[in-house]
Amino acid sequence: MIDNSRAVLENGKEYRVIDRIEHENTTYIYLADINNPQDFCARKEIEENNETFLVGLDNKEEADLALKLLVEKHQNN
Amino acid sequence: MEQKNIEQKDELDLTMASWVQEKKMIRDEELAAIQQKFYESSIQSPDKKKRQKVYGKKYIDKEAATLIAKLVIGVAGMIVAFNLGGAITKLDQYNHTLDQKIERIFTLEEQKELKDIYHDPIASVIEAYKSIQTEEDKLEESGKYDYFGRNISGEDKEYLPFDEDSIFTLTEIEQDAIDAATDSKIEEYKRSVK
Repeated sequence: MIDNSRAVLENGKEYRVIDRIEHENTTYIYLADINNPQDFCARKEIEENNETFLVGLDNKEEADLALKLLVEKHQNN
Repeated sequence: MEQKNIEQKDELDLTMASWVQEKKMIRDEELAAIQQKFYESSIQSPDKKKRQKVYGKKYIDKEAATLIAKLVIGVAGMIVAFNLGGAITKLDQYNHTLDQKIERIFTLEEQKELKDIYHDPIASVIEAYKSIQTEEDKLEESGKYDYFGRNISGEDKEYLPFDEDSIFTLTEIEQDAIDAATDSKIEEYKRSVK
Protein backbone atom coordinates (compact mmCIF):
# COMPACT_ATOMS: atom_id res chain seq x y z
CA MET A 1 0.00 0.00 0.00
CA ILE A 2 1.40 3.39 -0.94
CA ASP A 3 1.73 5.80 1.98
CA ASN A 4 0.95 9.25 0.63
CA SER A 5 2.30 10.87 3.75
CA ARG A 6 5.83 10.00 2.58
CA ALA A 7 7.97 10.75 -0.41
CA VAL A 8 11.34 9.56 -1.62
CA LEU A 9 13.22 12.49 -3.08
CA GLU A 10 15.90 12.57 -5.74
CA ASN A 11 18.61 12.02 -3.13
CA GLY A 12 17.15 8.62 -2.36
CA LYS A 13 16.07 9.59 1.15
CA GLU A 14 12.58 9.02 2.45
CA TYR A 15 10.77 12.01 3.89
CA ARG A 16 7.59 12.48 5.87
CA VAL A 17 5.19 15.20 4.85
CA ILE A 18 5.01 17.45 7.88
CA ASP A 19 2.91 20.18 6.39
CA ARG A 20 1.10 21.23 3.28
CA ILE A 21 0.20 24.83 2.54
CA GLU A 22 -1.71 26.15 -0.43
CA HIS A 23 -0.93 29.66 -1.54
CA GLU A 24 -2.12 31.37 -4.73
CA ASN A 25 -2.58 28.24 -6.82
CA THR A 26 0.65 26.69 -5.55
CA THR A 27 0.83 23.87 -3.02
CA TYR A 28 3.96 23.82 -0.90
CA ILE A 29 4.88 20.52 0.69
CA TYR A 30 7.19 20.51 3.70
CA LEU A 31 9.20 17.34 4.20
CA ALA A 32 11.41 16.01 6.99
CA ASP A 33 13.89 13.15 6.64
CA ILE A 34 12.42 10.18 8.52
CA ASN A 35 15.89 9.31 9.81
CA ASN A 36 16.89 12.88 10.64
CA PRO A 37 13.89 15.13 11.30
CA GLN A 38 16.13 18.20 11.54
CA ASP A 39 16.85 17.81 7.83
CA PHE A 40 13.81 19.37 6.24
CA CYS A 41 12.96 21.04 2.97
CA ALA A 42 10.12 22.29 0.82
CA ARG A 43 8.81 21.28 -2.58
CA LYS A 44 5.97 22.36 -4.85
CA GLU A 45 3.30 19.87 -5.77
CA ILE A 46 2.02 19.96 -9.31
CA GLU A 47 -0.47 17.80 -11.15
CA GLU A 48 -0.44 17.04 -14.84
CA ASN A 49 -2.51 14.50 -16.73
CA ASN A 50 -3.73 13.05 -13.45
CA GLU A 51 -0.17 12.50 -12.27
CA THR A 52 1.44 14.18 -9.28
CA PHE A 53 4.93 15.59 -9.30
CA LEU A 54 7.14 17.30 -6.76
CA VAL A 55 9.47 20.02 -7.97
CA GLY A 56 12.03 22.13 -6.18
CA LEU A 57 11.54 25.80 -5.51
CA ASP A 58 12.67 28.31 -8.11
CA ASN A 59 14.83 30.64 -6.10
CA LYS A 60 15.63 32.15 -2.72
CA GLU A 61 12.64 34.44 -2.95
CA GLU A 62 10.29 31.51 -3.25
CA ALA A 63 12.12 29.64 -0.49
CA ASP A 64 11.67 32.68 1.77
CA LEU A 65 7.97 32.73 0.91
CA ALA A 66 7.63 29.03 1.75
CA LEU A 67 9.33 29.64 5.09
CA LYS A 68 7.19 32.69 5.77
CA LEU A 69 4.02 30.67 5.14
CA LEU A 70 5.24 27.97 7.53
CA VAL A 71 6.20 30.52 10.17
CA GLU A 72 2.87 32.31 9.96
CA LYS A 73 1.00 29.06 10.31
CA HIS A 74 2.88 27.74 13.32
CA GLN A 75 4.17 30.69 15.31
CA ASN A 76 0.94 31.14 17.24
CA ASN A 77 0.49 27.43 18.03
CA MET B 1 -12.43 36.82 22.57
CA GLU B 2 -11.07 39.67 20.46
CA GLN B 3 -9.56 41.31 23.55
CA LYS B 4 -7.90 38.02 24.43
CA ASN B 5 -6.44 37.77 20.92
CA ILE B 6 -5.07 41.30 21.20
CA GLU B 7 -3.53 40.49 24.58
CA GLN B 8 -2.01 37.30 23.21
CA LYS B 9 -0.53 39.21 20.29
CA ASP B 10 0.89 41.84 22.64
CA GLU B 11 2.36 39.09 24.77
CA LEU B 12 3.88 37.47 21.69
CA ASP B 13 5.30 40.79 20.59
CA LEU B 14 6.86 41.35 24.02
CA THR B 15 8.23 37.83 24.03
CA MET B 16 9.68 38.31 20.58
CA ALA B 17 11.33 41.56 21.57
CA SER B 18 12.76 39.89 24.69
CA TRP B 19 14.10 37.09 22.56
CA VAL B 20 15.71 39.62 20.24
CA GLN B 21 17.46 41.29 23.13
CA GLU B 22 18.52 37.99 24.63
CA LYS B 23 19.37 36.19 21.44
CA LYS B 24 21.38 38.98 19.92
CA MET B 25 24.29 36.86 21.05
CA ILE B 26 23.45 34.29 18.36
CA ARG B 27 26.17 34.51 15.81
CA ASP B 28 25.18 35.47 12.33
CA GLU B 29 26.98 32.39 11.12
CA GLU B 30 24.60 30.08 12.98
CA LEU B 31 21.55 31.74 11.51
CA ALA B 32 23.10 31.69 8.07
CA ALA B 33 23.89 27.96 8.35
CA ILE B 34 20.33 27.09 9.32
CA GLN B 35 18.89 29.17 6.54
CA GLN B 36 21.43 27.94 3.99
CA LYS B 37 20.65 24.27 4.63
CA PHE B 38 16.98 24.87 3.92
CA TYR B 39 17.80 26.77 0.72
CA GLU B 40 20.16 24.04 -0.52
CA SER B 41 17.61 21.33 0.14
CA SER B 42 14.65 23.18 -1.36
CA ILE B 43 15.87 25.27 -4.29
CA GLN B 44 16.62 23.63 -7.60
CA SER B 45 18.09 25.73 -10.37
CA PRO B 46 16.11 25.66 -13.65
CA ASP B 47 18.78 23.70 -15.52
CA LYS B 48 18.96 21.04 -12.79
CA LYS B 49 15.35 20.90 -11.83
CA LYS B 50 13.72 17.52 -12.10
CA ARG B 51 10.07 16.77 -11.81
CA GLN B 52 9.76 13.88 -9.49
CA LYS B 53 6.74 11.76 -9.92
CA VAL B 54 4.98 10.73 -6.75
CA TYR B 55 1.94 8.58 -6.38
CA GLY B 56 -1.14 10.60 -5.58
CA LYS B 57 -1.51 13.84 -3.67
CA LYS B 58 0.64 14.10 -0.59
CA TYR B 59 -0.99 14.15 2.81
CA ILE B 60 0.36 15.21 6.15
CA ASP B 61 1.93 12.39 8.12
CA LYS B 62 -0.05 11.49 11.21
CA GLU B 63 3.05 12.08 13.29
CA ALA B 64 3.64 15.52 11.78
CA ALA B 65 2.45 17.45 14.81
CA THR B 66 4.77 15.43 17.06
CA LEU B 67 7.64 15.84 14.63
CA ILE B 68 7.23 19.59 14.43
CA ALA B 69 7.06 19.76 18.22
CA LYS B 70 10.28 17.73 18.44
CA LEU B 71 12.16 19.76 15.87
CA VAL B 72 13.36 22.29 18.43
CA ILE B 73 16.65 22.91 16.78
CA GLY B 74 15.39 22.10 13.28
CA VAL B 75 11.99 23.47 12.26
CA ALA B 76 11.12 25.36 15.42
CA GLY B 77 14.66 26.62 15.82
CA MET B 78 14.62 27.72 12.24
CA ILE B 79 11.23 29.36 12.70
CA VAL B 80 12.62 31.20 15.70
CA ALA B 81 15.89 31.88 13.89
CA PHE B 82 14.05 33.14 10.83
CA ASN B 83 11.84 35.38 12.93
CA LEU B 84 14.72 36.50 15.11
CA GLY B 85 17.00 37.13 12.17
CA GLY B 86 14.37 39.27 10.54
CA ALA B 87 13.58 41.01 13.81
CA ILE B 88 17.24 41.67 14.55
CA THR B 89 17.73 43.15 11.09
CA LYS B 90 14.70 45.38 11.53
CA LEU B 91 15.85 46.65 14.90
CA ASP B 92 19.40 47.20 13.69
CA GLN B 93 18.09 49.26 10.80
CA TYR B 94 15.73 51.13 13.13
CA ASN B 95 18.61 52.07 15.43
CA HIS B 96 20.85 52.99 12.52
CA THR B 97 18.16 55.16 10.92
CA LEU B 98 17.32 56.80 14.23
CA ASP B 99 20.97 57.64 14.91
CA GLN B 100 21.35 59.17 11.44
CA LYS B 101 18.30 61.35 11.94
CA ILE B 102 19.34 62.41 15.45
CA GLU B 103 22.79 63.41 14.23
CA ARG B 104 21.30 65.36 11.34
CA ILE B 105 18.68 67.27 13.30
CA PHE B 106 19.93 67.87 16.84
CA THR B 107 22.95 69.66 18.29
CA LEU B 108 25.73 67.69 19.94
CA GLU B 109 24.47 68.67 23.35
CA GLU B 110 20.93 67.62 22.53
CA GLN B 111 22.18 64.34 21.08
CA LYS B 112 23.87 63.52 24.37
CA GLU B 113 20.75 64.39 26.30
CA LEU B 114 18.61 62.21 24.05
CA LYS B 115 20.92 59.24 24.36
CA ASP B 116 20.78 59.52 28.16
CA ILE B 117 17.05 58.92 27.93
CA TYR B 118 17.77 55.28 27.08
CA HIS B 119 18.54 54.09 30.56
CA ASP B 120 16.57 50.86 30.16
CA PRO B 121 17.72 48.95 27.03
CA ILE B 122 15.10 46.19 27.30
CA ALA B 123 12.21 48.65 27.33
CA SER B 124 13.76 50.49 24.39
CA VAL B 125 14.00 47.33 22.32
CA ILE B 126 10.42 46.36 23.08
CA GLU B 127 9.16 49.88 22.33
CA ALA B 128 11.08 50.09 19.06
CA TYR B 129 9.94 46.65 17.92
CA LYS B 130 6.30 47.38 18.66
CA SER B 131 6.46 50.75 16.90
CA ILE B 132 7.82 49.10 13.75
CA GLN B 133 5.07 46.47 13.86
CA THR B 134 2.40 49.14 14.34
CA GLU B 135 3.60 51.10 11.32
CA GLU B 136 3.69 47.92 9.21
CA ASP B 137 0.06 47.22 10.06
CA LYS B 138 -0.91 50.73 8.98
CA LEU B 139 1.03 50.50 5.73
CA GLU B 140 -0.34 47.07 4.84
CA GLU B 141 -3.84 48.52 4.85
CA SER B 142 -2.84 51.23 2.40
CA GLY B 143 -2.86 48.86 -0.59
CA LYS B 144 0.42 50.26 -1.83
CA TYR B 145 2.41 47.08 -1.23
CA ASP B 146 2.19 43.62 -2.73
CA TYR B 147 2.38 40.34 -0.81
CA PHE B 148 6.18 40.41 -0.85
CA GLY B 149 6.23 43.85 0.73
CA ARG B 150 7.27 45.63 -2.43
CA ASN B 151 6.02 49.12 -3.12
CA ILE B 152 3.58 48.99 -6.04
CA SER B 153 2.22 52.52 -5.76
CA GLY B 154 4.51 53.89 -8.46
CA GLU B 155 5.69 56.58 -6.08
CA ASP B 156 9.35 57.38 -6.35
CA LYS B 157 11.03 56.64 -3.06
CA GLU B 158 14.65 56.70 -2.06
CA TYR B 159 15.22 54.00 0.48
CA LEU B 160 17.58 54.26 3.38
CA PRO B 161 20.58 51.92 3.18
CA PHE B 162 20.46 48.75 5.22
CA ASP B 163 22.97 46.10 6.12
CA GLU B 164 23.59 44.42 2.80
CA ASP B 165 25.63 41.69 4.47
CA SER B 166 22.61 40.44 6.34
CA ILE B 167 20.90 37.40 4.90
CA PHE B 168 17.61 38.90 6.04
CA THR B 169 16.85 41.66 3.58
CA LEU B 170 14.17 44.15 4.43
CA THR B 171 11.16 44.56 2.21
CA GLU B 172 10.09 48.02 1.14
CA ILE B 173 7.13 47.97 3.50
CA GLU B 174 9.50 47.16 6.37
CA GLN B 175 11.84 49.96 5.36
CA ASP B 176 8.94 52.40 5.12
CA ALA B 177 7.66 51.24 8.50
CA ILE B 178 11.09 51.88 10.03
CA ASP B 179 11.19 55.31 8.40
CA ALA B 180 7.76 56.18 9.81
CA ALA B 181 8.56 54.80 13.26
CA THR B 182 11.83 56.75 13.50
CA ASP B 183 10.14 59.94 12.29
CA SER B 184 7.60 59.51 15.05
CA LYS B 185 10.39 59.04 17.60
CA ILE B 186 12.19 62.15 16.32
CA GLU B 187 9.03 64.22 16.79
CA GLU B 188 8.84 62.92 20.33
CA TYR B 189 12.44 63.96 20.88
CA LYS B 190 11.79 67.44 19.50
CA ARG B 191 9.02 67.92 22.03
CA SER B 192 11.27 66.67 24.85
CA VAL B 193 14.16 69.07 24.14
CA LYS B 194 12.02 72.22 23.85
